[in-house]
Amino acid sequence: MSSRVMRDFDLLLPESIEETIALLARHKDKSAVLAGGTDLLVALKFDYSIDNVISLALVPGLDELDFDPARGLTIGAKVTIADVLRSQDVKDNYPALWQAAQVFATPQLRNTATVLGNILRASPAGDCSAALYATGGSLLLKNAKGCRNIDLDDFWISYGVTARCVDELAISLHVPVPAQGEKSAFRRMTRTTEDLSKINAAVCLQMAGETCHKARVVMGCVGPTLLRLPKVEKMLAGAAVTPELLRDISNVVISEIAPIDDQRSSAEYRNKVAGVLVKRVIEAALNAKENDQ
Amino acid sequence: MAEDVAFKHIEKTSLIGKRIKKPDAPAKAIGKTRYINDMVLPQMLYGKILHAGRPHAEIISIDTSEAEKLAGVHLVITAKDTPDLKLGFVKDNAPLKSKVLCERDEVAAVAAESEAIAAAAIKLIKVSYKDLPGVFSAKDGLKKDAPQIQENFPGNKSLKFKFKHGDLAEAEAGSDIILDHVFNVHYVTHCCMGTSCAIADFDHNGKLTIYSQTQYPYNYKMDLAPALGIDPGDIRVIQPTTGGSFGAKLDVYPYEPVAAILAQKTGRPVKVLFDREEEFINSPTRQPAAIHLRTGCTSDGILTFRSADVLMDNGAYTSWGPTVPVIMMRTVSGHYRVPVIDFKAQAVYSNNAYAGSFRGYGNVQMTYATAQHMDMFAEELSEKHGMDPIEFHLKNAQKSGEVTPQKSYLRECVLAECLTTAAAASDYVNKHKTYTEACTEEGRYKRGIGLASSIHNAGGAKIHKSDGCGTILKMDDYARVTVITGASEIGQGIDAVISQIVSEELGVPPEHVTLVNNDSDIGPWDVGVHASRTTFIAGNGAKRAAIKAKKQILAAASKQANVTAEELDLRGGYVVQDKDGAAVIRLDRMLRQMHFQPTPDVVMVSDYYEPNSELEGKDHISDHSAAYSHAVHIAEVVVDTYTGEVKVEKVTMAQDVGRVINRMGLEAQMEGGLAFGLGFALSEEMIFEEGRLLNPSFRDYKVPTAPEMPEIEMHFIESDCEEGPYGAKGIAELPTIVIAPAIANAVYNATGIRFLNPPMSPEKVARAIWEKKQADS
Ligand SMILES: Cc1cc2nc3c(=O)[nH]c(=O)nc-3n(C[C@H](O)[C@H](O)[C@H](O)COP(=O)(O)OP(=O)(O)OC[C@H]3O[C@@H](n4cnc5c(N)ncnc54)[C@H](O)[C@@H]3O)c2cc1C
Repeated sequence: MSSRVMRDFDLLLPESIEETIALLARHKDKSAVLAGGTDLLVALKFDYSIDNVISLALVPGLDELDFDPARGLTIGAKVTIADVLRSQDVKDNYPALWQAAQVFATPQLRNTATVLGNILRASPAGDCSAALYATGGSLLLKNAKGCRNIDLDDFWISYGVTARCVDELAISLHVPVPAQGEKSAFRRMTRTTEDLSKINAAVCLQMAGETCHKARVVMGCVGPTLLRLPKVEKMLAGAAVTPELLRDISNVVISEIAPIDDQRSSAEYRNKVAGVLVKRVIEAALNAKENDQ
Repeated sequence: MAEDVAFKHIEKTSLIGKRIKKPDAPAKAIGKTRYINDMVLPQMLYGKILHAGRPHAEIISIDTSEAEKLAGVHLVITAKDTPDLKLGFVKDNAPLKSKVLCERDEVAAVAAESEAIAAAAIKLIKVSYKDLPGVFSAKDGLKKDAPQIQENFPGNKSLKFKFKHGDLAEAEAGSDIILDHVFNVHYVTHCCMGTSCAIADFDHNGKLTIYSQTQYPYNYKMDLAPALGIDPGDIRVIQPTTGGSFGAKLDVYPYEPVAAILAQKTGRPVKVLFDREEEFINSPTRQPAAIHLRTGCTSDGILTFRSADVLMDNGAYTSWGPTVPVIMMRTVSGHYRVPVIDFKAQAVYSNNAYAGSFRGYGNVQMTYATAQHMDMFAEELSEKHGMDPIEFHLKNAQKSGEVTPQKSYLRECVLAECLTTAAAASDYVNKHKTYTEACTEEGRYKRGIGLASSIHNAGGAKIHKSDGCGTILKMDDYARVTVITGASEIGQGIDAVISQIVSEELGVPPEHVTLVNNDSDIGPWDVGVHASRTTFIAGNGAKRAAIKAKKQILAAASKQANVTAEELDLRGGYVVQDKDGAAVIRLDRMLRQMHFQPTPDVVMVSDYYEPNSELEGKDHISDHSAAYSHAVHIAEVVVDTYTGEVKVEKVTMAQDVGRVINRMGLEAQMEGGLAFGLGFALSEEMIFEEGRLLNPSFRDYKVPTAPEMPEIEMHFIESDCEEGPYGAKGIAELPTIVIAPAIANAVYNATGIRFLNPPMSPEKVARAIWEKKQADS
């Protein structure tokens, strides 16, 4: 044990989406797509089944970060966390995503790591993933047979496992236009400032005055995948968001999550602070002071 | 008189206390430094060690045949290739093991053409084990039916220490308040950025050159030789730049003789380099301890006694860890004026990781306990008798000239000044009162302020027969100075300090001083970089050598200038008249003239400085350091009572530094030292399950990062130590020692809860707050 020397592998550098897909079709589960590599390179020290690393470095057409008030937001496979953070459109229209990018790791990591890599990693601690799960979105996947869209709601299956087929390349993520009165926020707790989350939460609320019409509430690190909290969502739907409601919500959260003990924290602790965090993230969304972490 | 000195006058100035750049800093900052980890020698092979990965087992068989067949593998060795080779403090350790006593145990090693081949070969070694029941705590190790870990140590009893002074029963009877608590201090590790590395190379005469990160190159030979079966004189130690050490390399650990044995047997240089996971599992830890502390005090606030019973998990082998009671007892007997002392410590073998030396050396553990007891007394005395907390501390603070029960002679003692300075600067008394009152009120965020102090050796610690350091100083024809010192540089900054001191004496710019201190064939004896000793000891040595050189130059110059040597001085690269600074001759010219004159001479002097301290004896009664110093930290925290998160917002520190030498280096040591203590207090913890480390990565073992650092306000109190260079004392360990109990006391002030078992992680703090809430309601 304890020999963390990275094994040898072939680095493949396709120059088009088609070429990338052809390589995926050839190497299937013996290959992995390299976007920023901040997850993949760590995994390669443990996972010796990957013989071919297919880098997106030279593939054009994946850099798009585009917001259209009529169509919504498109995030290409090579868009980094830093790109998101620089986007005024994201900041104005998708505060949860922007806030997740803001607290994400360190500047070096943010310059390298991609949003789609975060989604494809299928970690229950993924920060941008949590934010996007709350706002909702669909992933465009492509293989030699064609394209398909898959909703994020159906994408994460279990820890590290997604609905992506081994020969599919994720091209982009589409996030819908924010609804009228939409407010969203992201919050997390870490051990040290630039650490992975030990627990995180994101909400997206459709507000009309004091009343919430519809809510999506997401928590991370409290189960094998990111979780939505249906009871909490129901309590919010059609309700006025009062301090009493928030208190009730924070008491219910514990019944919707299933955290475990690990090196980052304990189940007991996560259970206890989950309610506090959900309350805090809802308040943050309503108060919309996005810089106040 | 030469033209360039006409009308030139140079005033006397001093560099002492100024900010001097660390000469190696720019290269380190831009990534140009070549560390030992980067080194490659021609024909070098890569060594890799197979670690047992299980805590206690017999080795039934080892099959190395598949590994040997792998192309590129030169050699595979096991314990049977290294019979009778021993290492460690009590020679209870070996380079390769025939029985497994802890997770890290070295079972076999490979030398191969590349790192990848070596790693692959390790995986091909087949070992069959028979697992044995293990011992995973000191308490369990003492049980009657506990398995015996080390053959030669029945009952699993390892090192033991004792010190008694005065009549305990009488002191207890005379106490109005007696505090009695057990503090459990946890496992942390050094986390050097440069992982452990050794490169061994034998020549054809059987002489070993070892490139090492060691902190003690001269005694290192003595410790390494028996692990190789060679003469210590046949070892040359070269110390390339190392990425941190902090005590981790104050002993020989198995990977070093393993590299040497592989090199000896293959006839090729061999490098062993740990990856981060290996580093976590196979490095020494800080010595964990259960400290049962009892302290007595009168209602007038006078300490009456301190008794400490320390139980230490020795782990499977004995390195420096279980020797830390030597320093712990100085704290018990010297942290404030305590007339009666009863100290006991026992280390017990187990199948856990083993500890080494680590910045603060036992004092981090002990002060966590003693400084909390001081706070508890202050609290009770203020509640019951209205005593001002600072007054309580001052009543018990020693003064210059006092001697502790262990005969530590506090020649220059400014503890009182440290206390009043830090308290005034932070408005401690008022804030403490305000936060105490707010503690029981409703509200999510609670503020707290906490004070802690400690004492530490500040002029070396004579635990070996010598605590000295040799220096050789030479000057060339261009007035450039080379200082060959025994003192090692492991990042702490002796390079800057020596340049500064030599420059002060010889009137040359610090950049014109070159340090040579990385080759044991060149450097003179030194006991090693530890015990906050290097500026004090090597600084004194460099100063004395420079003064000798200056005398020699001024004697030669006086003949030329027809004045006495006493009337001359060296300033700004010139020989000058002392009284008005009038230049006499340029220094480089003077040196050339000395060199070329009818009776030629070069400036080349040596010095051996041995501090006036006394050897630490078996009875532990001796003035074992040439100086002692104190520090006070006041921490201000905010506790989120919903989540248990503790944020340290500000630390005000006052430390007796004797005299500031390099202000920049001093500040850096304060910040770095504090970061260590901060991690220990709040986030760092090695998590073990049955002897296996569960979090061997920076993902799961959390050292503080830059944003966690509090604002730090530093007050340096200059006590002007008679023996220290320019009055300086050693400074580097106190900041690590004092901060954790200051935070614990602040968290108490905020929440009313004492944390006897660090780290104060959010999980632990939150649970205690919930439990208290439940109990209160
Ligand atoms: C020090 C450190 C700190 C971190 N901190 C955080 C943090 O604060 N918050 C957080 O959420 N995460 C954090 N992470 C995790 C990681 O950085 C993120 O998950 C990141 O977003 C992954 O993106 P990437 O581009 O680096 O992905 P990669 O490593 O390149 O890929 C991740 C996975 O997705 C697959 N993949 C990537 N792109 C595609 C594609 N287009 N099509 C198909 N498959 C694809 C890869 O094959 C791989 O399996 C941290 C990691 C490190 C090393």
